[in-house]
Amino acid sequence: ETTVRMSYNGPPEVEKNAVHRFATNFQTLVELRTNGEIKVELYPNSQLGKEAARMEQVMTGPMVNVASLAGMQSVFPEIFAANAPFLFESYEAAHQFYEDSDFWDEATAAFKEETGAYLLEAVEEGGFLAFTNDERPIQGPADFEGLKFRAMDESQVALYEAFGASGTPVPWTEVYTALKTGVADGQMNPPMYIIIGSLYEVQDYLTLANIQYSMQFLVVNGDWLDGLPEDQRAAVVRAAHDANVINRIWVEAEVQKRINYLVENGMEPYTPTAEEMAAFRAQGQSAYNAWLAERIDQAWIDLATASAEAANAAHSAR
Amino acid sequence: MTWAMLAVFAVLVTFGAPLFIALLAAALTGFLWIGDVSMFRLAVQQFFDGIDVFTLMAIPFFILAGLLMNHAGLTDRLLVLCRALVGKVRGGLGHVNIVASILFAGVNGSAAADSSALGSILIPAMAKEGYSRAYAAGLTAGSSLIGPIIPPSIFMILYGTMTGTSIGGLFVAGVIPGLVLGIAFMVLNGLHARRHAHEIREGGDPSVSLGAALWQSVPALIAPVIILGGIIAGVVTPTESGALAVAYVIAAGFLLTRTLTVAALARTIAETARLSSAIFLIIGAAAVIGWLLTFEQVPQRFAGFVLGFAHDPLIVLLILSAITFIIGMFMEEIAALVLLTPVFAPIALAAGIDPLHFGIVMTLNITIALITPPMGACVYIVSAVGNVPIEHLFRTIWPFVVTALVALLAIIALPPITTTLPRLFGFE
Amino acid sequence: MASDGGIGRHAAAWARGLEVFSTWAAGLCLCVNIGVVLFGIVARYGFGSSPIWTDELARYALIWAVLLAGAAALRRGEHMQIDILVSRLPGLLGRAVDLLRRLAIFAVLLFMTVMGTVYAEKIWGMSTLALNVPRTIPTAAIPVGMGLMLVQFLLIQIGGPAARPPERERVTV
Ligand code: NA
Ligand code: NA
Repeated sequence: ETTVRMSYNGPPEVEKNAVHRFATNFQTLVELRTNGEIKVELYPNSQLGKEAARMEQVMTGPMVNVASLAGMQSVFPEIFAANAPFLFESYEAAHQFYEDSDFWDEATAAFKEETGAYLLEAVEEGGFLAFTNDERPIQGPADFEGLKFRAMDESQVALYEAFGASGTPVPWTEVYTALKTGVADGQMNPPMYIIIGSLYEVQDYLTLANIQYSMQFLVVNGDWLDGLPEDQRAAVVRAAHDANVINRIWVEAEVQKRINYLVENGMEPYTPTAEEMAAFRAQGQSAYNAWLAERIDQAWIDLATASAEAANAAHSAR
Repeated sequence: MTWAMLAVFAVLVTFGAPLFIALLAAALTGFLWIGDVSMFRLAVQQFFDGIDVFTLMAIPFFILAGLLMNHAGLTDRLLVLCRALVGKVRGGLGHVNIVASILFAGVNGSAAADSSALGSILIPAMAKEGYSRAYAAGLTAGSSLIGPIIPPSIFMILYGTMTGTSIGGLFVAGVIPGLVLGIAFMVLNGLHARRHAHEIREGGDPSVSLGAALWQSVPALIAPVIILGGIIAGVVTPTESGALAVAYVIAAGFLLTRTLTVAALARTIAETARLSSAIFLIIGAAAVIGWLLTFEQVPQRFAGFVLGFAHDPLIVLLILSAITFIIGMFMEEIAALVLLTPVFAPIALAAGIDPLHFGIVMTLNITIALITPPMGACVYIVSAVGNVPIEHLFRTIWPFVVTALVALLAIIALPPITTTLPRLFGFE
Repeated sequence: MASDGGIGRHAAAWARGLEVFSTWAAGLCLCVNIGVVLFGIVARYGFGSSPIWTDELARYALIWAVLLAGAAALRRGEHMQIDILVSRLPGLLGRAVDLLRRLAIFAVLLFMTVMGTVYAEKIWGMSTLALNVPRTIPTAAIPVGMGLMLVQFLLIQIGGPAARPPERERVTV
């Protein structure tokens, strides 16, 4: 009987934190399918450290970690190619991209090579990111002119600047006040965070532009997984995938409820047309990819773009 | 493992080793206990991550701003104003001591800076006007507790950083509790002055009118306006407001009062660097301990234990406060806060206590520990600057501890004292 | 342990020198730290947005400042410690306790210096989020700062009371 520690971000609340929901399902499935031979201990709330620290821990010891993009960045910045804005037209396309695409095959292999750890799943977290602001309804890139947006990192700054807006860094705990006082006019986040941060109280307009697919990454220590008997190893890998599938069903049902909640609380939603989305994609993606090309090999960007196009085509055909 | 770590820590502390050394030695004991040598590196990793936090930068800023207040002549100007404001009533100089702490608190983030800066001036002055030295020293230590409650506050920065609570929100939440504490001490001082009416003379300064006093203290009053105003208006983050306060006090010292010199500035920066070093090494070392305890699920089990028999928020608050008070008596305050917060805050949240309310209760509790024997930093400071034997102070400090505890109980029992103001300004 | 011969005098002089170096280096880092934060505010209101790297640079400058200042604080006895109990212990017991205390300080500082070096080396391949430099650059502050404190501690042991600054007002928080 072995025990493995699993660390992740966010509170241990199944209703609020999709990653915790994933972790508890993973825990149950692993224990069930190994007849209790493998126990998973949960460490929510980033208890075992910040992103980079936890990534180091999962690289060196028997550990399971759910890393956000910030955690991946320190060891595998190439993953940012998969976070280009307006990359996916649907959930199905994103699912295919993150389990059965050339990009994902090469990314998981390169990640193993770089870190010695397995990148098993892209855990669906909160649906797609949406823009919010309190100045005017945003329907296309032109509506961004002159607005100030809260930016989480440089890629977001590049995106806002491509639309003629500006990006300014504000830590999450200060976002509400910044939006209320006008330090920033708007921001982007999945609906869940707009609700958690009560941002709907200070933001009037909601643009559902499928900006980015929000996910975190399940990483498992290589030596630990390789050291398991074959049947247990397979059980862990399958538990990870099944827990993610369960998560996707729940998240996608939840996202619609959350959007309804935001509308009931006074936000005015807008879903851009195909032409408007094309304009977003043309301007946003090229600015983002230009920013990224200074940091990673262009081949990864091209591969991600091609894989996403294939996934989009496969699902819009239906 | 927890007991082995605790034993190593307690032995080394009582043997006079620096606290950060004792904490790190306890952490190494923990890693040895787990028996995985590859984990030793995590001591460095968690030490680094423990101090690599943007909001913690406000600590050196507010230390520097507070120390520079003296060199820039702003502390003296505040004292003139206090004398004009409350000096003329019975027990006047005692009230001056308290009001000065309230005003000084608006720039200064720690109680020690308050008790050493104000104590060195006010304890001799109070003694001259008929107060006993022990009373004057006790009142200085007691009212210095207002420093970390009225913003800015090093303790609140630490608490907010560790729990993700808005530091701006905590700052605003501290204003009224700080005033409550001030009023409690003024009541105590008023009673004392009445009882010793024969010995105590009035401490007013008839040569200065209130208007003139107010006018000359404007440069000193601008600093707190920058700090709190900037945060409430959302123009700057608390960290940035600290940097702005430093810039302002330097500018005021060179251009307005012209008492600040380059040599004094350089000395103060060096002092701030050393003081910050002492604080940050403890924060880093405590972070390593915190990681180990979490890894072994000690806080999780403790939370389960407490919530197992207490559900009522008031009861939970009282239990956690009592534990904090007792630990604070025997432990250095920053270390106590950094070790207890990650364990206690989740319990408080689970019990349905408002995060701002709990933050203020925790901060005030740790602050009171600064004047409780046997290990209260402020008691040692006023003993030194006021020339009162420490053993004597240990006996005479209790009325001030009790007064602060009464204020704490009022703040525990009445959450609106804490939560009204931040809600008004839109802090979550 | 303290000698008052030539070695002791040299050690005392080196301890003083190390304090001066540690103070200046730390003070400079602190100034960079404050300057960068102020620049961030000016940039936000002057040019509409502040560069994302200000946050990271300010943090790293402060980490270097507090670790570099450790050696100066050590010489002045400003690291928080409680010495009321030890000073009251009689003769042999007092000396035994004092020896154990010194050994613990030596061991912990040595451990953090060695482990800090190992760690900083190991994470050369990981890069920081905004400045995109190896994480070694900020984390090296730990072995350097702990190492300087170790050297300072040994100099004080060799130099004896002469390696300590004259008793003066001690600053605490
Ligand atoms: Na204060
Ligand atoms: Na204490």
